[in-house]
Amino acid sequence: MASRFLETERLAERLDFLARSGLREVRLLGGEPTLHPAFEELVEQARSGGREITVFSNGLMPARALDCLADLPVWQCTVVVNVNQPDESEQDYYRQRETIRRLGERAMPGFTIYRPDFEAEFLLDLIAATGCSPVIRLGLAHPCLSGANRFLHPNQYRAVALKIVRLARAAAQTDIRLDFDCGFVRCMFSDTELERLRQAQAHIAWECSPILDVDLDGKVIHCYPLAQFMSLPLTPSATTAQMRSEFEARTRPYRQTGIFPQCSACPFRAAGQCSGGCLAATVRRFRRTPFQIEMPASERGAL
Amino acid sequence: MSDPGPIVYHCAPTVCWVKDSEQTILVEERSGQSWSLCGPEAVVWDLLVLKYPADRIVEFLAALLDEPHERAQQELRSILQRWEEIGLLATGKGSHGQSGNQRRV
Ligand code: SF4
Repeated sequence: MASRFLETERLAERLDFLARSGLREVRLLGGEPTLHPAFEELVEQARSGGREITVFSNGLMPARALDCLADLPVWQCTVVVNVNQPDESEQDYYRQRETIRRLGERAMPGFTIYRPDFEAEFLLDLIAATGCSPVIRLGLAHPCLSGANRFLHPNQYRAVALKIVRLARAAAQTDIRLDFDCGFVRCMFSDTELERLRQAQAHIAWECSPILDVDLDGKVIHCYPLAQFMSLPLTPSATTAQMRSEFEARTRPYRQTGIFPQCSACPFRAAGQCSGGCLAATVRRFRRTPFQIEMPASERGAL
Repeated sequence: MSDPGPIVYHCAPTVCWVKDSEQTILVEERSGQSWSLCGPEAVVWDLLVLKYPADRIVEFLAALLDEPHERAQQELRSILQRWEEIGLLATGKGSHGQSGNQRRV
């Protein structure tokens, strides 16, 4: 299938959307946004008027895209480079590392956990060797609705918690901070582990809320994993606050539960300490089983 | 008097449900309406989605509630009627298949 890219003239309506919403940061993501044939033009449009840009990339970007980003002022550009574990593809890892080195402080390494046997300590060496931002953006791989992507099943969360704590403690020793992405849940950590995370200055927001992405067709989605679940049209008067409250209202019935069967009665949730994990993983728990049942009518009036 | 035939209760394909440890949550996806079931109602729902026929569900209910068959049958009827009233189920008369008498949920 041919790749589809955003038409450059359609970036303006997205920038207007952000301006109406009072936001000065533009996030470019994909797919891989740096593969856009007019990437440099998009970057220029996005940062015009002093807006800050954040690019989410796999770090395997074309040289012209790398040159473009590496020339931007550090204050105006953040590139979150999602790095693979070196044992997955050594070649990719060395390319990602080189990209991060070129971008310097503009680059923030990201790491997505999708298998329980992950190892992320290599990121500490990577940060020391490349001079990039001393922050690791740590995420859990969440399922899209079809479940066709690689993701970490909620039943495996407990298994990764210990490693996360170990990583946070090792990171803190070299003044590296962990930044947690959405969908972490309170019950994946014991109280002791949580205390260790706090001591390592790693603070997690136990949240899943509408991130709001605008797709290629101009539809606003809750987030990538829920792209097929629901969307709203990007109208000329829409703001992010309106969209967020609309998504919150539409997803409220599903948020009565969470990723686990015990979520709806969970004391952490009742105390506002956890929102029940990733909504996409929650929605995937719901079943659709239409049925019919016949009751003899003659006795109906007897009630 | 002619036999009015069985009442057929239907659940729309737009109703989705999830079983939690203490309740079963149902959501009508188009309207966003939701319901929470527990106790015998949750058991009836479990059996309905497993496509159990009414007589088997009545047997289960009788055992669960420790009630005679007739009382269990009444209980099932009243549960189904209640679900019809709140829009979770629609009814059609006659057997098998959708009738023009259905209410959309
Ligand atoms: S709400 Fe669910 S995911 Fe969150 S802590 Fe409770 S059981 Fe865990």
